[in-house]
This record gives sequence, structure tokens and C-alpha cells, in this order.
Amino acid sequence: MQELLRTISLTDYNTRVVVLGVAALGLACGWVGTFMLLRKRALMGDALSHATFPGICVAFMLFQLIADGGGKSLPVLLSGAVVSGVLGVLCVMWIRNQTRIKEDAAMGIVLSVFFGLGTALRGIIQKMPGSNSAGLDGFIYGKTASMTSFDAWLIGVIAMISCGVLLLMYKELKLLCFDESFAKGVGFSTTRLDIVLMGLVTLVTVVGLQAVGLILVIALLIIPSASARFWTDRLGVMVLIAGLIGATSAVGGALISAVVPNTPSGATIVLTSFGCFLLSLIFGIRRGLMIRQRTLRKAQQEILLRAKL
Amino acid sequence: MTWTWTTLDTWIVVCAAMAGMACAVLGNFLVLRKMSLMGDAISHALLPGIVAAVYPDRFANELADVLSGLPVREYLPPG
Amino acid sequence: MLWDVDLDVPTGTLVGIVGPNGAGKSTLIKAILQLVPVLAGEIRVFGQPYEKQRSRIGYVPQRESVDWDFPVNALDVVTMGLYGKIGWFRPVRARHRQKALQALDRVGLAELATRQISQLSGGQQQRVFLARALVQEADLYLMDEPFAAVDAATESAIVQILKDLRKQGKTALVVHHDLQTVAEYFDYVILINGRVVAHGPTPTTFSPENLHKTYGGKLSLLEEVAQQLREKR
Repeated sequence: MQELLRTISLTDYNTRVVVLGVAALGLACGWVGTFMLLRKRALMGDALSHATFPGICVAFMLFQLIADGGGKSLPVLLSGAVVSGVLGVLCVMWIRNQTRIKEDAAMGIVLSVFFGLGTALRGIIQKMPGSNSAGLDGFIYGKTASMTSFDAWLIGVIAMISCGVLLLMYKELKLLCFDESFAKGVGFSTTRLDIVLMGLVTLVTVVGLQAVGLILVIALLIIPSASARFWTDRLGVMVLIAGLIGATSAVGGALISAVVPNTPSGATIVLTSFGCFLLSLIFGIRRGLMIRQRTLRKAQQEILLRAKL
Repeated sequence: MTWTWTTLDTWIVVCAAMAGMACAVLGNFLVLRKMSLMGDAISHALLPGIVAAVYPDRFANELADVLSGLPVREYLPPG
Repeated sequence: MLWDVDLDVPTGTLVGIVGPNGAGKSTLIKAILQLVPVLAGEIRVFGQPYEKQRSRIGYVPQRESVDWDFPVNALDVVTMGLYGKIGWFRPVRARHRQKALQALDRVGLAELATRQISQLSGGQQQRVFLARALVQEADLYLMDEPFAAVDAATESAIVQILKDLRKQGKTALVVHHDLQTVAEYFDYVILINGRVVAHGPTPTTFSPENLHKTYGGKLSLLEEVAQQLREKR
């Protein structure tokens, strides 16, 4: 109980920084995820996050060889993640453009192959003398408990940068997601806009790895924005709500994971965001189940009334 | 490290081959139906069920642990 | 794929692009906008390359080309027509919205400005797209099947706007599939089937012979149209 109070009241400096960091991450994931969802590329984040795994392993091994036993430097592991993640996305695009394979099949290929490669590399790392692969598992399942305040700052700053870019290019990305050919017609380079959007997804996915884990980081991109759609018909409001839900579930999940022993934070964050999704699904004021039931009943009554008249 | 091939290994390989064939046959339809990622969703959705089925007692205990760790315990009926 | 396109379109006219399904009508429009690669040849708009004249072109894509479930309202969509003029990174201001509202008023949808676009009828959606092109204040309008599956009110509204545009000395290239109304709506016609079969002023070019060449005599409808044409003469 003491422990619980200490965590929730954010007495420790470290806890406070970590909570702020994951809040920023949740916000950024909600924002970026909204645009990915509307661009119909929601699962690209999944392919990307799975594709980061071999990069993390390779970075870990290389660093282990160069600096003996120092394989756990977060910036090094994350740069490895960026390289192989981007490579994975390029593979998906190449397969889609050069063959007749559809995008979903291409993503299925890339995410399973890259993740398989990563799993094999992890097996090798476990056999390497003197190395401890325990740090890697945090990237698979998410472990906010292992975050230092430096890690949290890194995550928070990058998340805030992503949010800034998104605000700056809000109008352009809105047009890209709604009507690609019209965007081209009025002179915006859709290739450049797509690169910016994918870049943002890469950034938030990679910094989100440590908190949520690469298997479940997709949840933080999709669930908040999908939930937000139940509440509004305006893109601006949807982005705000998605950010709010993302931040809430990230913080809530991190706290639950800190309080309950043996629960990876990835799982708790996903379950928290699912709670938000369920609430939105039922009570959402635009498309929620309750409002739909009510409009349906109203229409039925009107028809009956007219039939009587 | 010595390693001898046993009957069990034969069965393992045969099972793997048969699973591979079954998946490949079904996979054709998934790709054509543009539902490639459905397999991914199903396989991931299996996980909680497997955990519950393999460790029924432990699963129940863990669940109780998780619940007792949270303040929800106070709202649960006594007993 | 579209072959042998060699045509000049006079300014200040309403041009109908007519041809069977899959003839390359939309492709022609997309080629002008550089949305599809032009393998050989060049396209000039008002005597200059497309890049220099981009701001003078307004575009009305096919209605099915976008997801109407997108979380925006009618006014938002029309405002998008101004994004090119506003430019990179600059926010939308109240005067832009004012302008968009005027364009919506011109197509008769001012009172539906705040309605979510999926709650508009097909014809209303088409008019929103038209308003978005109008707000671009272009000199050349490219419209891809604006009359496809719209109600009578929308059809007459679009025709009225096309006539207004012509009065202002603007040019419109319109992909059209209804042979019955071609002679009534357009001054100039381009007949396409994989290549440009014929082009020229409607009274001389939109003839039974040219239609037969374009459609290969497959449509029974053709006879009807030919009959009507003869009657009109």
C-alpha cells in the first residue's frame, strides 16, 4: 500500500519524469496515429515496429563487441531500430510497387520475416559469453520500470518534436489523407508529405519501443484514434481526443505496471487503452453504440407515427 | 554435444511439414481475399486462451494476484 | 493507356470529353494534371508548361476517389481548394473560410456548411467538390464525371455554373458519359477511344459517323442519339 501511494503520488523524481515522458509519448502516438488511420495505413506502424527488432539486436551485438558489456545504451539501440525499421518500410513499399502483391500481404511478409530474424539474433545473443539479453526483452514487451530519467527525457523531447511537426503541417496532412490527387493538383508533393508522415511514425514508434514494446506499440497508434472517431466528426477534435486518450492510457498503464508485480507495461498500456476504446464504443456521442441505437429507435417511431397518420 | 536422430524427431519434422502445407494451402485464399493479416490477428488472439488452457490453476491465481494488487479488491464482495 | 493525343483546346469554351468506358477520358485529365506519367509528348496550359500554370487550374476529381466518411464538414472540404494559395505551413484564416462559404453559397449549399460530408447526398457531395474547384478561382477547370449519378437539381446547378464560367471567359474540360446531353451542354467535343478519334466544335464533330468510329457501333443507344441529332438539324 505504501508502495502504491508512493507511485501514484509521484513522489520520486524518476517516477515523475517517466510519467511525463510516457504521457508525451501517448499524446504523440495518438496524434500521429490519427493521420495514419485516415491515410488507411494503420498497420504500417505494426510492420515498422516488428522490423525494428533485428536492428536492435545487431546494434546490441556490435556495441557489446566494441564496448565490452555496454550494449544497453538506449540511443545506440534506438538508432539500430531506426535503421532496420526504415528498411522494413522500404521493403513493404518496394514489394507493393514492383510486384502485384497487395500492401497487406507485403506487410505480413516483412513483419514476420524481420521479427523472425530478430528472434534468431536474440537466440545468438543469449549464447554470447558475458552478455545479458534481459535488456532486449524490455523492447519486446515494454518495460517502463527500467527507464532512467535520461530515457524518459529522450522519449518526451522526441514526442514533443513530432507533435510540433504535426501542428506545423496539419493542413497539408489533412489534405493528403482526404484527397491525395487533389493535393497533387494544387501543388503539394504527396511523396514528400508521405515521407514526413512515415518519418513521424518511425520516430514515435521507435521511442515508444521501450515503454510499450515492439509487439504492442501499434496499439498506441491505432486504439486512441479509433476511439476518438466515436466522439466527433471534426478532424481537429478527433486529433485532440486521440492525444488525450493516448496520454491517459500510457500514464495509466505505466502506473499499473509499476504497482502490480510482473506485468510488462506494454500489456497494461494496451489494456488501459482498450478500456478507453470500450467506453468510446458504447458512449461515444457521434458514432457510439448507444447513440446509434437511439437514432434507430427514433426513426422507427417516426415511421410508425407516419403510418398511423 | 552429441545428437542422435530419434523417432520423435521424425514425427516433429513430419508435423512441421504438414502444418506448413496446411498453412500454405489456406494462405492462397487469404491473399486472394485480401485478408492476409487475418492470420496474424487470429494467432495473436489465441495467446490469452493458450495461457488459460495450459495453466488453469496458475492463471486463476495470477488473475487473483493482479486483482489483489489493485485497489479493486476493496470493491469486490468479501470471500 | 492513351495514344495519339494531339489536340488544342480553344479558351473560353465548354469542352466535353466523350468516349466509352475505359477509353481514357479520366486518364487524359490526369495526364494534364501530371497525376499519371506522360510517356511521350508534352502538355501545355495556356502556352506554358503545367508547373507554371498550376494555380490557374481547378480540379474536380471523381466522387468515388475519396472516402466520404472522413471527419470533415462541407466547409472544410471547400476550404481545401484554397490550400494551394495559402501555401506550405501557413494556417487557414477566417477570411479563407469566408471565401469558401461564398463558394458553397454559389452551389446552393450554404446552409449545409457544417454538415459532416457523409451525411450529404451524392449530388450534394458533387456540388461540394465543384465549390472546392470554384474557390480556386482558376481559368481552366478539369472535371472528371461531375454528372455521374447526380439528381436533377444538381445537374441543372452544375450546368448553370458551367455557363457562368463560360460567360467569365473561363475554359472547362468535362468528362461526360451521357450522349443525350452532349450537344446541349458543350460547345466543343473531344471523342476518345484509346486515342483521340475526333475533336472540334460540337455541331460539326458530334456526328453519327464520328460516334460510330468512337463506339464501334456497339451501343444500341447510338442509333437513338443519331436519330435525335438528325431531328435537331
